[in-house]
Amino acid sequence: MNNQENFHRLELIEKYCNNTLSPSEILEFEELYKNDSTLAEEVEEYKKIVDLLRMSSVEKTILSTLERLENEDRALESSPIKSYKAAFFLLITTLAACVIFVLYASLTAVELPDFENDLTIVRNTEQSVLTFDDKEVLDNLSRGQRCFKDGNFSKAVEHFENVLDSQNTIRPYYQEAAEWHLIVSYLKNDQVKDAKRLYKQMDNCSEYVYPISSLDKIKLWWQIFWANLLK
Amino acid sequence: MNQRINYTPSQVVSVLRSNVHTEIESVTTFLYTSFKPVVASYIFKQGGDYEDAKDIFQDVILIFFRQVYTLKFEPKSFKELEGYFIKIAHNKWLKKKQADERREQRENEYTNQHETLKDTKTPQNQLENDENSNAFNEVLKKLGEPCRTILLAYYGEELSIKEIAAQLNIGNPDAMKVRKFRCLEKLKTLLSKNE
Repeated sequence: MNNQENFHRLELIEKYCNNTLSPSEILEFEELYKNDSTLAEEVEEYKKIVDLLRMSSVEKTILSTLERLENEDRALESSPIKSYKAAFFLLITTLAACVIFVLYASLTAVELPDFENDLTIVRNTEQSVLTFDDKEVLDNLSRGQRCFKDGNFSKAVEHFENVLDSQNTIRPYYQEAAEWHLIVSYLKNDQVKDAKRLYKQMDNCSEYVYPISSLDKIKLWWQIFWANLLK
Repeated sequence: MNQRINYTPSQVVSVLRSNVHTEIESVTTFLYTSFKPVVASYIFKQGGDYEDAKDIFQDVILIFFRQVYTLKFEPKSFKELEGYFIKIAHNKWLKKKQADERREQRENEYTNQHETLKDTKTPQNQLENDENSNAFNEVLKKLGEPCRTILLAYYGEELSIKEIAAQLNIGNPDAMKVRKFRCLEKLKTLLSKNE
């Protein structure tokens, strides 16, 4: 069988399988079928090959789709959009954390450590021998603390100012304690400007003896800030 | 990216048995988005990496397709489909582990392989070992270009002779028709040699 005949035979088989034989081709095919025992085998072989080609073609499509999906996933992993999203998320989280911290600092009470009622409050004075002025300083300090605790801030301001106005040289510990208490008292007593001035003065100091925590200092700053803003 | 379309198991089956390649792409996307995370998570738990998950999922989806196409499997529910993907991934992972172990312990290779295969013999497993399709793909590789492209385009994607001629820049459809038959003849010869 030459090439031409071969192709014609294949074409007939293909048309037979696709049901596209013309009437004259049907006659030709039937004639061939009667006289050629291998034709039936060739038809089966053709069907099998076409089936395998179809499977292979679908597999090719599945694999190329999977490859594309994998690449898209990887691109998405490293895409700037994802990085921007992560950065945006980080920014929002940081902002939210900052807002929560500011709210906490602005709304929670400043907790100043209690100072001891030390009779040696006045420097260079013997414990047993206190002058009238020294006694007055001690008295003002303890009264100021009591008023502060009772919420009577106008009186507290008076007593703490008296302590600081005293001509005597008191220990830095007590001076600082009186100053921090006075700042809070000013603030509670609506004397925001005085609170701000004294806070600024205290904030400029590099060393503290009175152990006020950084958090309480920040709280005071924010509370003075809001009071100043809302006034 | 293809829009993800949800398919019922029976729709997945009918698309995979059809020859509509755009639909097949869409079903592949559906299967990828539905089951790749589950398969990947299983592989990671077993100590595999991203590449293992990618390779195993590719094998699983091909096995699934071959079984569906040859009418050996027809899932009735999404749960059954998911179970099938996990089961095949599990078998594939075992097979891979065995291959890795074989590399380390050459002496025990034969015994280990047969014992484990006997233990995990399932219909899926049987299909995994069915290398017919892979053998055919090897023959297609041997067939070379442009025959491979012509036959896959004509019989696989069902493109017309004109379209293929245009794709391959062969102006004359009659010449392409003759070429296609020549390629088919060549493929038949290669297959008979391969048997």
